[in-house]
Amino acid sequence: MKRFLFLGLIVALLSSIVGATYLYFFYGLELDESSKVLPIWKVVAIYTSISLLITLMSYVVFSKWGKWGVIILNTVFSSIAIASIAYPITYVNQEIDTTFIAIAAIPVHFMMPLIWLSLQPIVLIQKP
Amino acid sequence: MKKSLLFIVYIGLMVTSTSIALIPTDDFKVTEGHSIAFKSADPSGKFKEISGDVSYNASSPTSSTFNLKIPVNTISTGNGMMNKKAMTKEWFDEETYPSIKFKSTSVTKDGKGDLQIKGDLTLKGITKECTIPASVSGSGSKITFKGTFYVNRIDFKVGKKSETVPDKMKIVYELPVSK
Repeated sequence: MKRFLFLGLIVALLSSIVGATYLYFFYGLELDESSKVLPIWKVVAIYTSISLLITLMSYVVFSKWGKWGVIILNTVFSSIAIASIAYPITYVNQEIDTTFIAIAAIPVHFMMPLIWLSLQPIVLIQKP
Repeated sequence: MKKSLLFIVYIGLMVTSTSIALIPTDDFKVTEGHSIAFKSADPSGKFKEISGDVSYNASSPTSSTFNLKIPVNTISTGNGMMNKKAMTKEWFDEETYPSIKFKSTSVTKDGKGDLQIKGDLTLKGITKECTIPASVSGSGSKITFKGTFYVNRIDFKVGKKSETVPDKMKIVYELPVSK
């Protein structure tokens, strides 16, 4: 369990740093007012929340159903991440200029899942 | 022991980050239906446009911020000649100073529950600190701020001392904002 808890904390920290850095430089270009609907603090909070939750879920799933359970969980999680880009693509805000919200948000939808998937072998792969 | 402590920290962090993630963003924009009128025996009128950003959180109103802009050329006194005169160097000098700006510096709540918005009012290139009272109505994504305050036009070199035009102009405003 300890390994899973550490993985969750590391994924939360790394994805928050990567996501916040990306948005910081993107918003620095001052293309529009997207930072008002997707502020950096919110992305960091969402990343931390999802990282910790998904890692805890994977621990429960791995304990009960083994690696196949984790594979199914990863597939569902990746599918949700891909499907969720429909939201920034179709996002409309009549009040402020959010022309570039899709460009800002789509990479954000993949950063945390990619970091999560790439670090997962730390807890799942054991020496043959 | 170490493991259970790690687990408690983990769950605590998860609950905290989820709660933060669910906080709605507080940014509002000025929407249609706004009015800002100046009143005296003569002249009276209004500014037809006002724009800007408002950050307001009902649970923590004192952390609100207001950044507003009024284009001087939207002045309407109901008299075309007077509107033109208001644009001249003697009055608003619209060519050099096209907009009136207000940027809040602090917000407090008074005994009646209304906001007292302290900030910098820039008019005709002169910046002075002023406090604008605001009653708040509405909730969720649509909020309206209303209030009355006075501005001494002489402080901002808007016109000269006159027997017909009072120094202190009464300003009555209504500011609907939405997310």
